[in-house]
Amino acid sequence: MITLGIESSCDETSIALLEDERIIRNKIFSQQEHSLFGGVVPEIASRAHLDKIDRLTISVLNEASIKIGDIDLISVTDSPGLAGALLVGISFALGIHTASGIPITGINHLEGHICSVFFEHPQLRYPFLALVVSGGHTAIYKIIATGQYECLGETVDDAAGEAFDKVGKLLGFAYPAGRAIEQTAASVENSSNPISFPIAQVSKIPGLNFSFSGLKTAVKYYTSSKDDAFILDNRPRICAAFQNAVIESLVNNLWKASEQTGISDVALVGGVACNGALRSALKNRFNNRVYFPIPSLCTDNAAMIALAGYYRNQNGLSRFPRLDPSSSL
Amino acid sequence: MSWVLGIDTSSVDMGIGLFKNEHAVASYSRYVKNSHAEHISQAVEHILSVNNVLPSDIKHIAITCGPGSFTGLRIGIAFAKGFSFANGALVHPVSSLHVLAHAARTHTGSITAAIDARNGDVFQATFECINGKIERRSEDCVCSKDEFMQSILPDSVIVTDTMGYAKSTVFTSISSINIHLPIETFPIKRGYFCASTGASVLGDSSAWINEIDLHPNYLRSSAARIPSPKG
Repeated sequence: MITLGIESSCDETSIALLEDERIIRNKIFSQQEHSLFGGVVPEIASRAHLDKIDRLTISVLNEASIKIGDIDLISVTDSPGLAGALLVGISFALGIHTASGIPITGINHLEGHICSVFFEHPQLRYPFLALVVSGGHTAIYKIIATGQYECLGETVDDAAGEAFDKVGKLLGFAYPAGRAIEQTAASVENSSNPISFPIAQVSKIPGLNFSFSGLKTAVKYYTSSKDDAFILDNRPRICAAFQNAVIESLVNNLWKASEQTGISDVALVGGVACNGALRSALKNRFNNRVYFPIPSLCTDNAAMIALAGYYRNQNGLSRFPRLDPSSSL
Repeated sequence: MSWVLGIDTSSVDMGIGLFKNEHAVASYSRYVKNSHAEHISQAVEHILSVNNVLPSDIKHIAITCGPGSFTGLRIGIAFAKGFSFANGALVHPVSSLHVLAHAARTHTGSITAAIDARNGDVFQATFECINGKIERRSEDCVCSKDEFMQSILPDSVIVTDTMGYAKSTVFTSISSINIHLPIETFPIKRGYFCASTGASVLGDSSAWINEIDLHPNYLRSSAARIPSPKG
């Protein structure tokens, strides 16, 4: 079965082709122009998606020597994300569907991220816990079966990846700043005088929730109390302290979720799943019962959307795309 | 025999039209805000199926490319791109101001078509109606409200579209000397006129392009790219 995946929820236009669960092609066009603005500008993202989506699709089909008539299913991200950006992918997919009659299914972007772990670990069995961490989302889900998810906790303000970008801006890194912070933090050797930032405890809302805006503010106050030369000299220590606070928050809540549910298998997915320090911390805490997608499939991509669509189709759970920019599964 | 599918999603009302050669076959309009993407697929399927036309029969699509609602334009263009990519149809880009001017098609003489571009600006173009045919007299452009008011000829019919913006004020100063046709009061079958524009150039191969060359005519940069007055 050939599935065409279409992803346009934020600043990556991506088209993929799958044969059952195997990736034939997965092309991603990352929009670079947002770095000028320190974050994703929705209107610019929407325009860029429209510029690229058909060219990318033609290129993927040509490279794979697959014709439109060979496609059995169209799987398109329809939520959550930037409304204008999602609409480009959905409308393009609907155009193909209407002209060709190829069945179509809408896919929740987070469901796609969760499915991305199966490319590398097809042996992973339900139920498992998924920690979804990206620039737009931070949440823990109990994955019961295909299409069955229970949210155990989520961020009440900034996403973890968003906190990385905002702190990166405070420290003078270009957007996106996740990789730069990780690399800079890694240059710290055993510090005798570590900086410590607070880890938020969210108790007013039931669930294993996260908060990162206070952490970002703590870094802001810390840096504003120091001169530029001090910050430049101590950037690695600040990065390490910030990153440790984020990781501790994520690992602690995931551990509590594991204790509460009795589920030991966990998956780390989303853009922040590329972070090596987070991967190491989870491996240590969960005794290696933690599963990651390969780094190239952690960031937004259409292969994961196609796979989620394939699973839904196989389980009779396909649904017509609908625009729902709400941020959870 | 050539079928022409017309699609207009540039404003609040979505229009789909169908022509068989130069003959009108069907038209569909839907006036609901923020719902084009939700209904475009069903609207096209419906208009084709009730007229016993297969999607594969559609080899020509006339589509409004702007100016207008940025999101609305992208919905129609992305849909047309997907449709054409799947069945090889050629596309003919149509100006939404040209479609709008058809509201004054019974008038002989000058027509100014204008759309509220927000922030006190107007998208506008002038046309002339000769024997029921709308001929272009100026290119689509964006200008300030004052420039728009100064450009209006005394004998011109003004067709305006606020794109559903209830607080629109850019057209409130239009003189009573001019005949003013607000599209909210005098709605037109946008899809029909879009398809008819396409049908009128069926014999001109240079008027039809591949979907890959189809681009929206926003007439305006993203607000983020416009320097703020504060710098």
